[in-house]
Amino acid sequence: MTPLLGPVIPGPRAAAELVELVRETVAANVRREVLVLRLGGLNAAVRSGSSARRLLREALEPLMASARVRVFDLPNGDVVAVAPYPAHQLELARNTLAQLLDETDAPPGLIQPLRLPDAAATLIATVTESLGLALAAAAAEPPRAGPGKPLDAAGLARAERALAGVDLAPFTFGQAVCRLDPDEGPLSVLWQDRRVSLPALLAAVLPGVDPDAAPALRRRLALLAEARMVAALAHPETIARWQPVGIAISLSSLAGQAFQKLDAVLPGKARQGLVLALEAEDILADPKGFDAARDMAAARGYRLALEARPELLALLPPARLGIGLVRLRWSPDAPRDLHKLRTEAVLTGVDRPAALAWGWERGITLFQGPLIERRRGAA
Amino acid sequence: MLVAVLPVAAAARPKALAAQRGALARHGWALALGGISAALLRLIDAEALPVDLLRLRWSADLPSVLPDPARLVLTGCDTAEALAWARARGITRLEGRAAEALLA
Repeated sequence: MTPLLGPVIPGPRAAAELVELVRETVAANVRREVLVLRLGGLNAAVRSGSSARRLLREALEPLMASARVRVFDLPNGDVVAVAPYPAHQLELARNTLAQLLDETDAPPGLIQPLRLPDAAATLIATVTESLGLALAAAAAEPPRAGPGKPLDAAGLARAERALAGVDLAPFTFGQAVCRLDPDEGPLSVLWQDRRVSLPALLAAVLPGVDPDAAPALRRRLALLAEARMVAALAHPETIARWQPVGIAISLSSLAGQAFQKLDAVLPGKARQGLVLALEAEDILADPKGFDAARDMAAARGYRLALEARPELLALLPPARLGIGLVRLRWSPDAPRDLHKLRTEAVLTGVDRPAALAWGWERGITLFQGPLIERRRGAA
Repeated sequence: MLVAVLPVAAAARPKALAAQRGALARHGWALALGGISAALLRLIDAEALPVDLLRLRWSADLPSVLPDPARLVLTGCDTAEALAWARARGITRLEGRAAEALLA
C-alpha cells in the first residue's frame, strides 16, 4: 500500500519500532497518548482521491513536524502517532481528522485514541494486525486486556515451533550505513545493517504473552531468531548476490552451529563485508567468549563492532578491546564531553540534523538512521 | 555495611546503574559489581565502573595493574597463595576459605 505520509517511519520497520516503543513505555511506566488512525480501512476512492489525500496530509503535518510526536506508517496503511502527555498536537489532529472524515462519509471508528501503558495490549494487537499476522495461535488465544501473561514451557514450545517456520522478512528491517562528510556531499552507502525486531517477532508468535517476565526463556528465543537470521545469510542465493551487510549477534550465536555453517560456505571476500555487532552487555558477561570471538574474527576476516551508548566508551575502550569499529547509539542526551574518537565509528539512530552535528564534532562520518533513510529516499 | 551486588553486565547501562547506586545510598546501602575476572579486567577500564565496590574473582593470571584496592573485594580467596597475593596488594576485603580460616 502506498504510504500516505512522507517523513515518517514506514512499513515493517515502523511496526517493529512501535512495538519497541510500547515495551519501553510499559517498562518505564510512563504515560503516553496515542492516536490510531485506521486509514487502511478507508474506502480506496477516498484514500486515493487527491483532495482527500491533501486534506489528510494537512491534518497530519503538524504531527510530523513536532519533535514530541513519533508517527508510524504501518504496512496496512494505518497510521499511529505517539506523544508524551500532555499531547495537545494529538488532540488537535484528532479534531481536524474527525471533521474531515465526517465530510467524506467515512465509517465510524477510524480514529481511536489510546493511552499507554494501559492500552499496550490493544496497540500491540493493532500492530500485529497491520502485519497480516492473524496467526492460528491468536485465534486460539484471544487478546487479553492488561499486561500479558508470563512465558511458560508450553508457550516456549509453541514459540519454538513457530520460530522454526515463520518468515522473518516482515520482522527484519534494514538501514543503510552511509558515509556523509561535513560538507554534506553525496551519501555513499557502505553496507546494509539488518536487524530482526525481537519484540515484534515475539508479539506475533506469542500473542498475549509477556516474554520479558521470563528473561532466560526470552533469551533462548532470541538465540533461535539469531540462528534463523544467520542461516538465511548462508542461503546459496544470498551468497550468490552477496552485498556488504551488518548484523547484531551474540557471542553464543557466534560460537553456534548456524554461524559455523555460514562460515564454511562464505567466500573470503564476503566475510570481509560482514560486520558482526556485539552488545557491550554480552562482552561484560562473557569476556572469555569475547576473546575467542575476536580471535576467530581476526583469523577468518570478519569485522567486529562494539554496539554501545557513547558513555560506555570510557569503560570499554575500543583499543583495549582490540576492536576496530564502534556503533554508537545517538540520543538527544548524548554526552557533550566525549572527545574525538580514534576508532572508526558509526553513529546510529540518527533522526535529526543535531545528531549529524554531534557526530561530525567527534570526527564521525558514518551514519545510520531515519534521517539518513529519508535523505537517501529524497536523492 | 550493607552491600547490594549486581552482575558486572549491569554496567552496560550506566545511567540505570548510577540511579540504582543513588537509590541504594539513600537507604544506607553500598553497591557492588560481582563476577569481575582476570579476562574482564584486561578488556575494561575498571576505574570507570560507577559503583562502590568491585568483587574481583581471584585467579593466578590477574593483571598487575589493578583498580584502587580500597574498592576491591577479593573473592575465591581459598588458598594461601591468594591470601598472600591480596596482602601484597593491600586488599583488605577478602572472601573465601583461606580468609575464613583467619577468623577461626
